[in-house]
Amino acid sequence: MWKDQIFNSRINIPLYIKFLVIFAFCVILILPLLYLFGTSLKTNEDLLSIPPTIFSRSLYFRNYADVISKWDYVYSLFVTLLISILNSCGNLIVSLMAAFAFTYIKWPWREKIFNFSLITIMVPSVLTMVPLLILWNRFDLIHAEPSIIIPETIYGFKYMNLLLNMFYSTIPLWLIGWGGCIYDIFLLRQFFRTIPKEIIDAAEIDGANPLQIFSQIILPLSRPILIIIILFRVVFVWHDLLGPLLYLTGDSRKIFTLSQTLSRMQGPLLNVPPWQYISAYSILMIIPLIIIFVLFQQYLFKGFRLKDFQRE
Amino acid sequence: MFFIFPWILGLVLFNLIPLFESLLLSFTDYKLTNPQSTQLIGTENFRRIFSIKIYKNKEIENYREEMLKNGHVEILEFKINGQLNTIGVREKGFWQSIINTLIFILIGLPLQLLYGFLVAALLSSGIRGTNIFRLVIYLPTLLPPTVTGVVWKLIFNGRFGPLNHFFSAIGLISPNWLMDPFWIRLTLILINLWSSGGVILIIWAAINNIPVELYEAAKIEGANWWVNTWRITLPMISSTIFFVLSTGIIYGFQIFTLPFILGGEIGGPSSSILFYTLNLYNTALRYNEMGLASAMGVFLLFITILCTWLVFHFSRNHIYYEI
Repeated sequence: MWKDQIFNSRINIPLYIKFLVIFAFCVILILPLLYLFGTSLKTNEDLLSIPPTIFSRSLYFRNYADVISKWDYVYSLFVTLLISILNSCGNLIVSLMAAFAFTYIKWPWREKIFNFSLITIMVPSVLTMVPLLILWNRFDLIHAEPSIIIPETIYGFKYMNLLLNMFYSTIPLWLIGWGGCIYDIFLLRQFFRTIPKEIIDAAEIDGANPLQIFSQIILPLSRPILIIIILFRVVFVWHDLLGPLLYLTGDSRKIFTLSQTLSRMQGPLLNVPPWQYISAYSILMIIPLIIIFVLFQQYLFKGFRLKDFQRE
Repeated sequence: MFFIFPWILGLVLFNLIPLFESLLLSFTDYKLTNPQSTQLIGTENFRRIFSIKIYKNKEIENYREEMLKNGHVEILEFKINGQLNTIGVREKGFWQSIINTLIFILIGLPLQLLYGFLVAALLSSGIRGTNIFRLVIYLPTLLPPTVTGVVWKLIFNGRFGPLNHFFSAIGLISPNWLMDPFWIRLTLILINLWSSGGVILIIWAAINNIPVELYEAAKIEGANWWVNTWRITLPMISSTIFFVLSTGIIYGFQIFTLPFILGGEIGGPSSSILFYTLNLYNTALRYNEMGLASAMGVFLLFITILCTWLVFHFSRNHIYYEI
């Protein structure tokens, strides 16, 4: 309650008025999402009703079933999950290794290389987009035809071909993650610096080799940061539309991510886009994100206070 | 040494080599459909995007040949005494995209900072239940830009959207938001404000880190809330504001998905939402001019570095670092 005095030393705005203002503000913030949810439950006639309502008279949940069956929701969900898992795992491993090398190993030009690579954040992704497109095109990954074919009788697993082709066609999207991200390396390095050196010295005295130090002391301590890094990567992949537009052209097997399918649903300009299906798809698309967010929100909000990275 | 190797490999392969290759490409006329017929054409790309070719009285017929050569040119006609006198031909959408992006950054970013500061100040003034509010405020940031575009496309719809209905019931004007060049830019700025939960949280965390003693000392000396804000709060969070400003500029130059969804591939009514990256994407994939797109990308890199350096330079004397 001491903060009470900070922002109104002379003007005494009562606390409950401030609470009401914030509350109204949050309600207004949520209102568009409610409208999205309401639109997903309307039929075609309700969409055009005047005056427009948030929820129609009868909630038409069948839209969700239609969307899942007609627009391949589970398929796109799987593709997006695959890309995000591959991307974030690769990024995590490579960034961890690089951050370890930047903090605990002394090698020539260490600081110079680090500062120089911080500049690469400023490089816009569209600049590297064109050469990467050419690079992947050279490896024939863009208009990928299913070239790996496993006879379905041998393995007895009907979808093995599909999985392999998904893996193969989405390589441009997740292979970049295996190059590490300088931002994550920066975060990890800042965190490693807050770990007291005495712990590592004590472990060395007790006879641990570097790998043991890494896996049994540093890794468990840095769990919040690792979760943040994975979270940000997954959210980035989920949001990304430019990447899928460039690299997943859907020639061979109609492999699309969630955001791409959503964008395609609004595509046909001749007909009116089916807004109830689009909003149902949007809700289905953001539900996994909300679940992940609610589960891991403590780590996320701790991440905004860079000074609080103490060991628990 | 082995630890650093994968990252260096990734950096070189996916960042440095594409960077230099795109620098090189900007001096050629590479086309994805016909890679073999690439020629080194020097600074022709840069000249094309920055200049206007003027055809005067006699040469007006020549401009039709230009149009046949590349279909994406913009024609400016200058009439004197009602007669078609001079025709200027320039690259379509380049200057327009720069103007659009600059409008968005110069108006949207300060508004976002102001809005973020107000909300963060309100949140950190001793109310309870801040955890739930934090959740709700960060939620719009979590949505993919595609979903945000869908949501606001529904709401801002001119005929069936609830916003217009609400406004006309109150008595405010209800324009056709997504069809008008001016209003659609306003909607983009408003949507940016709506989903700026990350900025709010960063500023809020920074405000929380200010030591209380400063405020107590100020209260003893009899400071009101204006002095508090201007002399204590703002200087103490100046490093955070600087961080938000520079990342906002970098992000603002690279924004793609939201204008793509809201305005379509062509960039909105009379190219009012044609942002820089959208224009680049169109040039590269629809008009199939990779060399030109690379040139635009190089220019974007130059502008980004310039703006970031400007922000650095002008705020060097105004930032207070705790260390």
